[in-house]
Amino acid sequence: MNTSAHPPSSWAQKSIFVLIIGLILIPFVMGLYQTSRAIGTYWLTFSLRGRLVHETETNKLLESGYPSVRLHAALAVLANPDDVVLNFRLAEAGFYGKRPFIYFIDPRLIPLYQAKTIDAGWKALEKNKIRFILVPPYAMPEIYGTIVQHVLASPEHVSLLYDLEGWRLFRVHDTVRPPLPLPKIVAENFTTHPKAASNWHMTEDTLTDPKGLPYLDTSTGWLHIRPTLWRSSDHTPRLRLFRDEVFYSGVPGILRRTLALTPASINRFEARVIGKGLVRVYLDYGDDRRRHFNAWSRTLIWEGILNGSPQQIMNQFMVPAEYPAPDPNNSSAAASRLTFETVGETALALQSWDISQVSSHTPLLDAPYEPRKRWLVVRSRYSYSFEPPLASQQFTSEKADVHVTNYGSYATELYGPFHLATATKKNLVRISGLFSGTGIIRVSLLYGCSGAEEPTYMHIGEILLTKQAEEKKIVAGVPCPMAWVQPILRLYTGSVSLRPKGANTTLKMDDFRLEGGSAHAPTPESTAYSWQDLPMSQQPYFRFVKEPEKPRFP
Amino acid sequence: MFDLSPGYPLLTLLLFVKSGFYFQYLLVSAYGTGLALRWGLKDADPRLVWSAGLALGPVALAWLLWVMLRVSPGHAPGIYLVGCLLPFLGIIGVEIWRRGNPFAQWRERLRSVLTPLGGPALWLRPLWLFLAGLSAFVFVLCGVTAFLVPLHGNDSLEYAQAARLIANARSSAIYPFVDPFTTNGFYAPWTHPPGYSILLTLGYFIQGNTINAGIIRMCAPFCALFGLIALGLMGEFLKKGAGVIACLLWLLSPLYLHLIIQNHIDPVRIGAFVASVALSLHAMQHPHVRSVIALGIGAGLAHFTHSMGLLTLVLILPVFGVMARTTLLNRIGLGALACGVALSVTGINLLDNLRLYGSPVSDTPLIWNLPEIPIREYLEYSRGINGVYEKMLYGVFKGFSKFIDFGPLYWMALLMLVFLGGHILWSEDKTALKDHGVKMGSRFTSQMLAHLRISLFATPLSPSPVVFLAGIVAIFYLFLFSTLAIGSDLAIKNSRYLLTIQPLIALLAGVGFAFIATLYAQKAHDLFKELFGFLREKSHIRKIFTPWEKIPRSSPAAHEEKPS
Repeated sequence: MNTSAHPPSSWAQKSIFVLIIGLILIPFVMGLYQTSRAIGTYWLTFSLRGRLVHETETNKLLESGYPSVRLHAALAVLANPDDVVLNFRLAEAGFYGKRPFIYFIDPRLIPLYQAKTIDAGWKALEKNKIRFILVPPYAMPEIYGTIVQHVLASPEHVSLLYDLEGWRLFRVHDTVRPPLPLPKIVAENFTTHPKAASNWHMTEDTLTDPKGLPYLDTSTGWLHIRPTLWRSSDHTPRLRLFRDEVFYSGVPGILRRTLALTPASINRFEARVIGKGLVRVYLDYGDDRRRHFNAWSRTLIWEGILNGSPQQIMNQFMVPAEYPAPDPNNSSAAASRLTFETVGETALALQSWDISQVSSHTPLLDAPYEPRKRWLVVRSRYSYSFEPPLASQQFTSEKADVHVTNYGSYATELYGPFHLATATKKNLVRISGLFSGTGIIRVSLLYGCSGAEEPTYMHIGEILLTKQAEEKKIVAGVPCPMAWVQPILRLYTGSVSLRPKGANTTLKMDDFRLEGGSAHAPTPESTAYSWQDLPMSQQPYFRFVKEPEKPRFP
Repeated sequence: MFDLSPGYPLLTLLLFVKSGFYFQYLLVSAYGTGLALRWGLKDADPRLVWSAGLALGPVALAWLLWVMLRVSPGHAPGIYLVGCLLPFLGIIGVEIWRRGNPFAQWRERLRSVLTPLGGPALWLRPLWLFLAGLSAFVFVLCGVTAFLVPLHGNDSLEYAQAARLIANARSSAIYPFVDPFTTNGFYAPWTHPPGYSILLTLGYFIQGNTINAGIIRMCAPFCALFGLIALGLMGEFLKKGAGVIACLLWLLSPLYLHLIIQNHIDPVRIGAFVASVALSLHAMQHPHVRSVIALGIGAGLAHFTHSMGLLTLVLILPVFGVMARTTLLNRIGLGALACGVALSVTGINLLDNLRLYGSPVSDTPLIWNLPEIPIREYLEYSRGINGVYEKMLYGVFKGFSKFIDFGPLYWMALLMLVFLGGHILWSEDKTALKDHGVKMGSRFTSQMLAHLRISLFATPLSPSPVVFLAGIVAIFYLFLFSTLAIGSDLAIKNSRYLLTIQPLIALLAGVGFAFIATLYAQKAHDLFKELFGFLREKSHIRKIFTPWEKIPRSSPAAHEEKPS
């Protein structure tokens, strides 16, 4: 086979050749990695039915479990059209949000940042008609450096509605509520109780179990951690060359302790710390205390940069529903801990901390989203067609007791063509029913299915089912199709994700109600909207002029 | 049922077709720009001209659309769609009128540009094809992903929303968005000129609606494709085979692939920068008024996409001033001319910024001046650049320390330099270096010094493009150090900003690797034949080895040997 006249080359030449081939194969790996990362972020799957290709962008996002988009979808239902949302992230709010909002660098918020008391901060929110606050999980100096942190941690002024992977949605109260009795679940103060410091341990990286003890300065009552991996005993940096990248960092110092919190409850965390550098506080929980650190689930409680002086850090957070409930019979089974994570070259000392329970349940019928991977969307086992109502007709399904039982992880879709009035916010979709089982039922409306444009999903609501017994639940929403889309709607309930896995869900719908058209007088076709004429609270999301002869472009 | 709905495949097809229209717009603008540059710069190398035309075309299109939206806002989208393309169509029409069908001898023309592919050694040809195929595969992978995933990423969504507002208002007067009352709360006090947003606006116009992101997700992949080809052409201009390697090395940076998938601004911005560098190469070798005007337009368009484009002339002009082959007075005058032309392209944006923000370039929102907000500590700690040591390691030399962003390019370039240095030091035949197209190694330093010394008093020596590019890279790092020295983290805080210089580093590394390849061409040729020689027995595979011309064989009996 050798056509070359030259003698066989040496092993060195061959190895160099293999090295070169290996180097030029790197782009393969890089490209595949980036691609899978982009797709994996949104939990998208390549399926034989071509869902990935044919789904709409909005639907892909809604089904992806990406927290920010889900919160904006929830806001579209929760918030009234004139409710202003304070957004600490512009991207999804600007592009996918459907409600008027204020971006956090807006100069209108300067009074908020300059407020000295919580009440003054709340009044600054009131002045801008801010009813909701959406906070990303990463550190924001505009929050931890100013009064905003205290406002967000105050259950009298705001209430936490959602906590999805650290993305938090708060509702600002209309009036300041009287001080709540906040029962403290865990509280430790090392100044008054130095022995509590012996509860704390430290690990230096993700792979090892506790290596040393944190150091308690008994004269001041501060509990110091000394990440010796980054700092030698004389506090000079060491081995810094191998520091992890900040955003994907490892864990130099971990303080761990078992906590007994109620699953799916709202809690308030507060600590008095002194330190410098980037610090994250996590609630970690898992099945086995001895397992690899990365195998634990975690919820971010606080992230920020300490400024070197004693300071209070605080936040409200939601304990995940999967959190292991405390078991009085077997104390060793509770595997959870509070973790202070320092990133890079940092110093941290802790004086006191506590967690108090604000609410034993989540105020909304919602729970942390089950990632798409857990369930499959397959063809529905049950289809139910409705009579298409007239545009001016109020429609109520007379056929009661739609009865669907799901075994395992299957979705149910109920759909039919409906006519809703366009460009008005007076349509009402209301579904009430008897539900039993455990899981989440998502209700959404799909409109604009004419083929001319991409259909748009509107998220109506979600129902969290926690009992096996039948419960009466109601989901309602006010969908507002845009002027230029076909006013044919599809109702689709379904996407039932089950938790715990393998449980059965039964859905009984005894009442399906869709109101539109003449029940609330529709907007005349000739009405032209122009957003400059409307006050900000009533501005539509798009600027459009309702002209039937030119429906294609706003 | 849900998946049997006729809408979905149709919608996907529509999206696909509209994306094709979008691509054709960009392609026509690139072709028209290349032709215009060709007319203006008759003495230029066609590879440089097409390199600049490809990457600058979309930005030029955006600039025209911006002028239309600014001068006469509020018309139907079709008017803008036709109007912004008319100049390019006119150029192409005149070309056809003057020279007949421009695609008549496309094989020959393409070959005249791509002849270097393959290099001196026979074995290189399939290897180059393989490398080009690899680049294409990676690129197509990113493009398909960008088509499939919804628009995400912080900045991408902001630019998309800015474009949506511009498209809905059909006026660029609402840019920048400093009045949140008129934009439903969207507040974006950017000092960037609106180039990228206008390019996305064009996508919305083609799409016909602004409901979904739709085809505008393909803007960055398309522009990145043009930028990639531009880089390859520039590399082929520098040294045979260097372009393909440079393309591959450029695609080695994971951050760049990520930005392509996210439909970020940087593929467009960096493409315009690469085009400006290509024009400056020509201006350096032929420093006359026309070439410098072209350079000024390129730099202005680079600024039109992003504020960082202001840096283009800051990086290029010092090296140009040292190396251009004219008298000192001429060099100063031409530099001033370039600045003037660039200002004529985007000067009005700078004036707008001065009026709105009080400074032409700014990256600081108003509230960050509040003493309550510890923004400086936040930026330092959250980005890992607290302290001088970190600023150096994780700031200036990010390319070496942040593998996850920049890939192995910097280390590969360093290895290549070490290898070349060793080769130069220990090579038995030192004159062999001169036989190759690039002057590198020990002559590099002396040439730089000679340039510096002579350029102050007389006409510089014959300038080397590689030295010119290395000078731009050096000025870039000098700029980084000087911003650090005045206490600003502006240039190092964002990995994307350091990505600006990466194509030039890829180019230089590509030249070096091509140089090494030619040094070892014969040995590698033998090795390649030994490893893959049996493939030549297959006649259909032999066609791959001999793609478009007959290859003279030294021994005709070679392929008649029977396998043992």
